[in-house]
Amino acid sequence: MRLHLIGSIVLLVVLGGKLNSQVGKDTFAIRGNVVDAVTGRPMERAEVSIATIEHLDKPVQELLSGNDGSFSFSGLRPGKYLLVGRKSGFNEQSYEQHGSFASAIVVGPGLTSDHVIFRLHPDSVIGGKITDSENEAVTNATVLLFRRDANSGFMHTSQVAQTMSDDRGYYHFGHLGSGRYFVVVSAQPWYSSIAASLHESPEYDPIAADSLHLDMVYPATYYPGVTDSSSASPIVLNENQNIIADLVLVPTPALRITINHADSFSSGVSLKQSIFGTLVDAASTEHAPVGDTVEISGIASGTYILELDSRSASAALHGRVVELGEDAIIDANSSAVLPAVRGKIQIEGELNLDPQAFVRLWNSRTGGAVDTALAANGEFSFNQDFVIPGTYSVFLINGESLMVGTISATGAKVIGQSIQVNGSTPVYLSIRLSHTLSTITGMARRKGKPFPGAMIILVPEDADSNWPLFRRDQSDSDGSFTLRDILPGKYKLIAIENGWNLEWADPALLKTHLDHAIGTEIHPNTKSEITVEVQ
Amino acid sequence: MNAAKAKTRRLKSRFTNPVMILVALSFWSAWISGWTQEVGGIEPRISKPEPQRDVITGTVVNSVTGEPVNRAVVQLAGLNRAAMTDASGHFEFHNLAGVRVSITVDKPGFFDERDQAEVLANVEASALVLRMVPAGVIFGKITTANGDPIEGVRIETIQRQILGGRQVWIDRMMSAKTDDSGSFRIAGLPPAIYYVAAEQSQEPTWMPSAIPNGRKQIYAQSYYPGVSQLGIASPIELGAGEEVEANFLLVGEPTYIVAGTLSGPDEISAGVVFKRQAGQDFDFIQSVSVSDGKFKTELPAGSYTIDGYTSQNAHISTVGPSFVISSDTADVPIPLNYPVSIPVIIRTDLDGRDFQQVNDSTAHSMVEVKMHGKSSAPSILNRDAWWAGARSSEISNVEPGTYEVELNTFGQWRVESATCGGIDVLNDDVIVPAGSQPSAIEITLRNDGATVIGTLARETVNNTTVLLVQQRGARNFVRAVTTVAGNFRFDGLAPGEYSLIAFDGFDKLEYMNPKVLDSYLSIAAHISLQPHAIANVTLNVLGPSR
Repeated sequence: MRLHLIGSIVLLVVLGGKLNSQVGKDTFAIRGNVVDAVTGRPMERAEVSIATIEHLDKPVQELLSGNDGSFSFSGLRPGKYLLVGRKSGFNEQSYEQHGSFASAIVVGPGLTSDHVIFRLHPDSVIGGKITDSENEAVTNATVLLFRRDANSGFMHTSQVAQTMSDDRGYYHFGHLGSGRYFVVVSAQPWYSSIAASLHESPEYDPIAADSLHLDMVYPATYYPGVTDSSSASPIVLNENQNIIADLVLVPTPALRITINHADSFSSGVSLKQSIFGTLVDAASTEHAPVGDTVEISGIASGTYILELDSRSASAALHGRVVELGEDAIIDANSSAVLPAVRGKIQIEGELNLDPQAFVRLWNSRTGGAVDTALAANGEFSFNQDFVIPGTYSVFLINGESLMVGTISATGAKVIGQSIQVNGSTPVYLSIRLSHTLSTITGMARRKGKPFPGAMIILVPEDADSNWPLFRRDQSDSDGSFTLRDILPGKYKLIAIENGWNLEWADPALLKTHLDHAIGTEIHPNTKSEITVEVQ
Repeated sequence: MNAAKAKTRRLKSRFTNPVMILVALSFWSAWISGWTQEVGGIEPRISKPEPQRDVITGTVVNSVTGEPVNRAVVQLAGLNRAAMTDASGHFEFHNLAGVRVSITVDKPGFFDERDQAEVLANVEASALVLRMVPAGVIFGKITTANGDPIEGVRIETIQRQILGGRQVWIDRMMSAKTDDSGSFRIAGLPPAIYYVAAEQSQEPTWMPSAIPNGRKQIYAQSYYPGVSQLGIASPIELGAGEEVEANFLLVGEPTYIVAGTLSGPDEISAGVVFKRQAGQDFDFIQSVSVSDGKFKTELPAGSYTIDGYTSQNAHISTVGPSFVISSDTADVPIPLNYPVSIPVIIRTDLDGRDFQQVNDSTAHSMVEVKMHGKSSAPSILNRDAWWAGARSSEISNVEPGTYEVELNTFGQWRVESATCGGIDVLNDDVIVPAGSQPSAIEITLRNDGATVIGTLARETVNNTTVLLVQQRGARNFVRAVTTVAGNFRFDGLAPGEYSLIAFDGFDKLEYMNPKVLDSYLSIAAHISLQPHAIANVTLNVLGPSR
């Protein structure tokens, strides 16, 4: 079964399934034991709750496990239940949880739910101390935590947490699962603000000021203390592990960018840099405009994306990639106006979108995503973000039961559910939504027996360009699974026993599995039942 | 990521605000460089001969340990010059044109506020010694009774401060959240007396129990070392640079399902606030939506005050904490009413010849009335009430309690008498009972007030507080003014004997407390005032007591 939206790019799917509704007077029970997944020891006094899969966030019963880790929920109607547990040092987790999936416990006539072993995975911690080359603590540094995994279908390094160093330079990331992590620090020396104020003074004496070495900056620094991401060391974290990752930041002379003719952009000047493909605000100091000139100081040398967001009615974003090796002067007027990516969402009949709905472009290779809100008439424009040239999958997020059906475009090449943005031509997307969505329910089996906990993948034809058409689930305790919101088309269905670290959206890696897969054609608005053999 | 954190928009951290002192460089006296040390009222001293009048050298030291502070930035603000100290805390400025400069010192982890970090300039062989006060830290761990850490609890520091000569407890706005091990750390604290509070939980959590379908539980606000009232909490005396550990545990309370109907003198607007009484304060506050006067919510047991507004935006509430929850309750009727107002009646007495009551708008230009809520124990609640608005004939929104009435007259008006239901409010407290209408405050003003015009014997850097005191036993009559360019003035004084005292540290002294003030009065100047008199005085300024 599928849990609520966790982490990166997961489509919001409303779990609207019905109970196995041969509701009789019989009631059933879920019984079992909580054990530490690392030591295998029973865990007493763990908080355990159950919720129906229709109301995942409203537990219907909760208790503390006994001295032997035992728990027992009785008086249950037939149906699927999510089992959730936690204890100090064990972050809240679901039974057999893998990312945003878990195995529901199914109770009813002929089903066993009496000997559930609920393995709780202990938390791990990454923490450390950030000092500068003078061996002084760096306080209030922004510390970013990235994690490398294949949850989105491809191996990506994406940001999972952010914190600040304290007065001693310490930082701390708790509640981490096992995995490969990267720690990145973005900070300015505390005295750089003095350099900035000296510089603003009318009596500014560059020679006297420079001799003080106050106008310094720390480049974005990756553990174990390098400034380019390719040299960064992953921190391999096991369960129940506490890893100390100290960093030393070395200040370098700061650079500045002077933006002339910036008067119409002064509310929206931002300097960003790419860290593992994610655009984050670069450590810098933006000064109050003087006339129509805006200065950004305290910048390390490197590659940045400078965004100038116009306040004018046309709301065009001016932006450019800046390779900064020395102080730079940029004329906002001559700065390239980014080709706009605009478009309109359409549907047969009246468009009645959830106000929370928005359009997302997602680069499956880099993991980068840009979002934009929708007007009531379905129009949208990516004018707040720099759409870097590349191939993007197109999504409607929070569209309830509406999915992107077909895309046509001017200024971009469309392949399946992907568009190629070249960065020089304005793009207009016409997105036709589909609500003729289908459902597959099925059973994962091996040698005729129900197989819980398998990864179920529905792979679209031309999978390379149709990432948004993939559907996944995890088989529940009776081997059952449900795949919803499927667009009509040709698919292959596979079930994999240990697939949770697989780049499941990469057809090349799936090839051996696909060779043994069942092909199926899904017609609009249908419900199919398929039994799949677990590989 | 957080843009506000990544971009320092020219906001200095609270650790590095400049601490200003003034150093006068003697322009005309090359050999007698007069370092006028003007903080703290110590008389100017003449240093040893200083051959280089265009040089400032000095050392930045930790005021507690005396150790040098490495890599502090010293700035001559007026000259736009800066220097960083070396490992011995030493700094130097050359080629100065012998002018008056302001010196500021910055260093993270050292305290910033001028009234806390007294950076004193000493003159020792021409070297300036700048002392910085290291910030303190309060850290600890929040656990359940079982010893399990509680994550995500906001911990706040409440600091004792003196405002207007009265002791108040204020939220320092410095807080931290407990992490996955229940630990918190609040750094950058100036030396002071603190209470540490754990805020009430934001969301009720399920209360695990052996019985399925247990109740939800909440954590109410509590104070170190684990009590519900500020009055019985343990203060933490935090010295400069100290790190104090404050561990405490929180006890979850079950909630009850409470439904009821609110009635008021007018239609009740959409939301009310339930506030549970704990000593002088509230320890659990919850907003509850109301529809057609009906509400349903979950609350822990206790006595609640319910606050709301009418559709006309008038404040209504229960009479004190009169709504008691001890179990699940369905459809309780709860009346809400306008809070107590105290009428104010002003009469004038023109030189004893002509008595008349004055209308409100005139009266407001003659006198202001403030009611200071008195608390037998420390409290962060401000129960003050005042006479607001030119057309108001009453002090509105007065909560039940004990009040000290403060009267300040304007111009030559002075208070002849002030009573409230037979109580002389100049000397005694007013008690506002719950649920009944208090008597009016009746004030008689007379226009024969005397004036004191004064000057300080020497100019000071800081604004100095001057107190004018008439001892009256349990409660002194005290007026306080801050000098402007060394000058001060008091108007509207009743005839009689007064003490006058000027002191640099009075803004930090609890001078409204006679026990605190009386010891200073032995060194005060004394003055006797006749009706309509104008007296001129010159006062010496006393230095800080410590």
